[in-house]
Amino acid sequence: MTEPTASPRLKGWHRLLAFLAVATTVVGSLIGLFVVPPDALQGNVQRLMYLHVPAAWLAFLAFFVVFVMAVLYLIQRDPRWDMIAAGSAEIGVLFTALTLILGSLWGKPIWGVWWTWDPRLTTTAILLVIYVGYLAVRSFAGDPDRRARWSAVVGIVGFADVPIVYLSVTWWRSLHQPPSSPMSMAPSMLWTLLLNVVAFTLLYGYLLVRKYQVAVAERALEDREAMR
Amino acid sequence: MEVWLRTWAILWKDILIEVRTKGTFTAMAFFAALILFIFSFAIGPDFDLLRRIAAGLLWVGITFTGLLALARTYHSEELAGGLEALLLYPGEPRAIFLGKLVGNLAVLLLVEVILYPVAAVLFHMDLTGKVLPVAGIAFLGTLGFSVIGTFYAALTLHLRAREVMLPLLVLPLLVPVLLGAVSATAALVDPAAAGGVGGWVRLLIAFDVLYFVVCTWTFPVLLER
Amino acid sequence: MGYLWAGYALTWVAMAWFAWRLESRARDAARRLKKSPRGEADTPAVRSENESVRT
Repeated sequence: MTEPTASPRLKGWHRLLAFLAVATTVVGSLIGLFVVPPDALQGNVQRLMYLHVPAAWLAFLAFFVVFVMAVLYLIQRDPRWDMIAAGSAEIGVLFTALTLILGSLWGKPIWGVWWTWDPRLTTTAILLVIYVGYLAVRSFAGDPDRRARWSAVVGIVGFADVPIVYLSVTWWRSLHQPPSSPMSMAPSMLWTLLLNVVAFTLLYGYLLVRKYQVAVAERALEDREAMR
Repeated sequence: MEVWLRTWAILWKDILIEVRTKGTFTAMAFFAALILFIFSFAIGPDFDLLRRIAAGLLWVGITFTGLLALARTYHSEELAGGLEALLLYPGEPRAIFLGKLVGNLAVLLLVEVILYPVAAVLFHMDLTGKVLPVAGIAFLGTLGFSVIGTFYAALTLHLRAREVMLPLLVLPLLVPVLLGAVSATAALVDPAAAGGVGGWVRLLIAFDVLYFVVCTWTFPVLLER
Repeated sequence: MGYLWAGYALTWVAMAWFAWRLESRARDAARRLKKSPRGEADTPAVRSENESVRT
């Protein structure tokens, strides 16, 4: 097997990426907490939206990346794709769990309950279990080849299911409940939301690049151990 | 053509083993019925409640029994030295998947032939005049279950902690199947249930077709080395 | 408003912890790469990549 290498172009960027990620996240949170006006109906608790929605976006983006990397790996068998997939899955699990917790924290004061079977939250909960399954396969597999192959399969089959799950849960809920009306947003709220989405995406990018670099380094260390 | 011959060979081998060892199917059927009994005890003699949730309880029973059946999918191969032995014969490896799939499907459908009447009795489900549509939904749901389950049973075969990994991987993917089968069955059987059957049937068919294609196509990846 | 502060605090703590753990793994890997004897696995590409691991 040839030594996996990363494109040297990533090297210079990653510091800038890290700085931008942290800066936009800080600014986004500050604006979300203190600058933008509170929602007329929900009050200040609604500010959790500026974290919850970007986290949800990232949860699904990260899994989409896992899916793409899994397909690429099965076609080309290049271990680099597998490393990126693993990194994306670990980051994705964090954001998925965060989405669910923030959803609960937002829901309790608004609806009075910690959990509603809202289709999007329910799909996110199932996504979390699929992620956990993916990471469990990676940790229980024997050698790196099997680990890469099997987790790639799990990533592909799992991702294909997410839209079907969303559709079926939405129908299921619509049997028992009228659809909830989407929240109307003032322009300043929309901009704050977009800023936080960009911030979280940059954060994801930085974490993914770093994870990949660590994976390459640790792989090189493993190979050296094996060479002895 | 040759693929189907192989599929049939694997299926027939498993049928022969099952018939000769005589143990497992009966045990599975009793296990399934027992789950339904336990549900009755756990929920209590509220007959209206039981009737309303009957379809759900039935499918939970099918799911747990199904997981048992799935865990044993490649059992005879394991005893004989592994899937690798089957692969030594020339020919299409996907036939292994298809043979096992039909085997699992058949076992589960047979269990359901027993389980549905038991559920109808225990939970006061009125199935008169609706046997065919309910059977159709049972078939579609069981097919989806079997496709995903047979596929992941092969994946988890060499995985540590596989008794836990199989349900962990299979159950989240089966949410649409469960929702579809339960909702459609409930809509048919319970006059008070809301919703139409057609949409759920279409969802089940789409799910089954999609995953049959994806799993059959990807199966050889699981058998490598 | 406890929910609001709890949510923001949790998010920040989680992300900071995740990033810090990742950075310390990176430093650790770089340190070990520098120390361990050069074997056949050491190629110029890997070396330049490991330079970038140490920020």
